[in-house]
Amino acid sequence: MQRAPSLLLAVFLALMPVRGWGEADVGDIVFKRVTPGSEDVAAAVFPHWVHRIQYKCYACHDALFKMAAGADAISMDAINDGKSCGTCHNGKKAFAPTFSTCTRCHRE
Amino acid sequence: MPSPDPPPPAITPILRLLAPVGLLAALACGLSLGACSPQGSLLSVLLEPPPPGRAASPRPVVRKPRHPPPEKPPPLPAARPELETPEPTDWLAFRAGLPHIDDDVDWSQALATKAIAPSPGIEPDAQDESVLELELELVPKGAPNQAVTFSHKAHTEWLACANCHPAIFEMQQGADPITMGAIFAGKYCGVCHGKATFAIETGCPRCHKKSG
Repeated sequence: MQRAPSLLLAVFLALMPVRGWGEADVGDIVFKRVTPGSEDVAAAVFPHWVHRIQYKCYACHDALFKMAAGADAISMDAINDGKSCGTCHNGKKAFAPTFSTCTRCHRE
Repeated sequence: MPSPDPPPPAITPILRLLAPVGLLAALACGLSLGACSPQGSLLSVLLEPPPPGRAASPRPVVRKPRHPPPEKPPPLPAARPELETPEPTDWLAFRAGLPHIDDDVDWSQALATKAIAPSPGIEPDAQDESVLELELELVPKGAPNQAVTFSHKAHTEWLACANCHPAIFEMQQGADPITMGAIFAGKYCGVCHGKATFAIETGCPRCHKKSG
């Protein structure tokens, strides 16, 4: 019974409306997996807001990405080739896709 | 008169001759006697083949002389030095400092107050698109209290004309049958609102400004 207060506190803290990277936010696009067998890695999440701080919509739309989510085929190969997200995420403009940065996009 | 020396024993020269032979004989005897010991005698090691288990043992490794290790190993070259990760910015803290409407960032206000200065393009020489100062009153037939004030300015600060026209909206006002149902289904305003920017459910007065 002594655990009850701490348990309640933990539940309360978990339910607190603090927005973090892991929280769904307006403008977050969760990518849909199309490659079978890749479900072990969390799907990538694209947060519009952090990109919007730095770029206007037409910096990427429609030349780089179409307006409809899922309209563009995005793959790690393309990103590593400097296409799609890799246009900026190449270690120069923005962080590159390395094994130390996986979870910055691939998060639950 | 001094007493004469005792005569040398006649056996001594013979012993001198036999001593090395006796020594060798004794050694051979000892070695052969040691054959009964568990370790085996030197003779058995020299003369007999090794036991089956040891016969298969590998030959002793001849070690080369070790070079002295370097003082400090040279650092490994980066596989792709261009992939250095820039220091992450605390974007969550930055966002918390932006103007808000309820839980959402007020992006128009963030622009107006110069809290943010988003780039018009990825290339450094990208130019801003022109901003259109045109406000439209979109009044549904028979429902003037549901009128929408559409600000081209607020949208063209972020979007180019070609982002919306004519794929999402015809250029002619009133040409599109815009309904809330269509918006909730992801058409017209719903292409962005609720997906990339503020939600439809919570943002009513932000579009329906005159509905009171």
